[in-house]
Amino acid sequence: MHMETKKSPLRSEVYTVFVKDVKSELRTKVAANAILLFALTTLFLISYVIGPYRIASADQPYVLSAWLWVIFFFSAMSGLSRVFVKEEETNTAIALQLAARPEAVFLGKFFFNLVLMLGLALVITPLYVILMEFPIRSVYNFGLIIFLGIVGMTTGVTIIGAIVAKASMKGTLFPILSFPIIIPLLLAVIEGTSMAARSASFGQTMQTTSVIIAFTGATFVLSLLLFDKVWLE
Amino acid sequence: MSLILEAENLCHKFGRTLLFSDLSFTLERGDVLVITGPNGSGKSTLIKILSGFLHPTMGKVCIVKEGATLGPRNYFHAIGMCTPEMRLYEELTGWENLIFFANLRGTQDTQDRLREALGFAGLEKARNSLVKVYSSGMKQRLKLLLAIFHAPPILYLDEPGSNLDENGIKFVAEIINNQRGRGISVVATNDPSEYAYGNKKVSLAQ
Repeated sequence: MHMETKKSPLRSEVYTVFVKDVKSELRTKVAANAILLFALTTLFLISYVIGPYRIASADQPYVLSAWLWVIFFFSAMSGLSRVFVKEEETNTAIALQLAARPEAVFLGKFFFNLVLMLGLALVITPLYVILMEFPIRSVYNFGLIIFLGIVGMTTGVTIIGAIVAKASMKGTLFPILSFPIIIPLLLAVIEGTSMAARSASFGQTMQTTSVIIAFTGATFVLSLLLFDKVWLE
Repeated sequence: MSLILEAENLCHKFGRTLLFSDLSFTLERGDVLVITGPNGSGKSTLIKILSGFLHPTMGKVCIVKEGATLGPRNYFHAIGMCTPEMRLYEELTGWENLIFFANLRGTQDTQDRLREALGFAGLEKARNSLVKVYSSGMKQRLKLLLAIFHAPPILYLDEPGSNLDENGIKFVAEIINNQRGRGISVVATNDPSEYAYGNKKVSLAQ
């Protein structure tokens, strides 16, 4: 038995890692269940205890935006680190380290987490808007900010997940490390979401949108540059 | 095509415990190095150091392939490895595991060739079963297959015969014999019947 090998293109490796994670998740449903159950429980708790009527209408855009991102942030905390933690806990990381380029592993797992979070946003956001009677002036801007915020949060949380997977106190370390790194992004997306709820003008949210894009871009590039140090340690 | 694996004055400590020191050897294409020693003597640690997964406390490992020196971690693509710590994706089938690693390794082979490889490992009938229902011997055969299917120039095997039946042991012997024509093998073992695989030997004392 002798097989010819030729290094596969990066995109093919990324796709292979992504498909493997999707297949594993469809069979185990660990990460999807964790983030969806957390998000739904929190959403129904907030809508039942606070509801739309206990918040003054002038405060609604700010308070409701903040709650929405609190749900997204803690849902991400409860499930997104699984992609790396599982590889370490089940000792499959060694074979993956030998076979795949580090950047392919990072990108494959980033896209998997992104699909998971966008899926969550598609389920939770409409439910939240309906249950909390969230008044949104510009649906387009609101959707854009949610999308960009999810991409930024997924980028940060994915690299932190990779770092945390190597540590012994994984559960505690993940939110502790994530919080200061994600805070600037959270502040910007909460501001952007409340602006989109208050105003239909794209120009008014432009500055916040730029901050979110810059944060996401910087985190993404740094993650790609640092990942091989984290992954191969 | 030239291939040299050189270990120079390797020394490794865990805390204050010295595992081994002043370990030097040179391996060339066709060589099979057998590492022996009692439990805890550092056989698996030496495999990790040679494969680039662990930095030695002192000394260095150098791989020269076709005149070019590869630094640690730059030679992962040239390595096949099977150790007790390594695990497969238990929620995937044996076939899915093979296809996954074949796609990552860029194996230019048809599914027929990969099916043939599974047959070579004696796993053809179990190809569509999830790895979690495999016996420990079947898992070991699949791990061995994944270590060699991309024809690596350097092969590291740590306790390759563990959990294997008679046919499995023959499979290991065939792998090592095939590797002689392709490159270098390093086998860590406590099984005296496996000592005969090697033309070079390193004995680690506790």
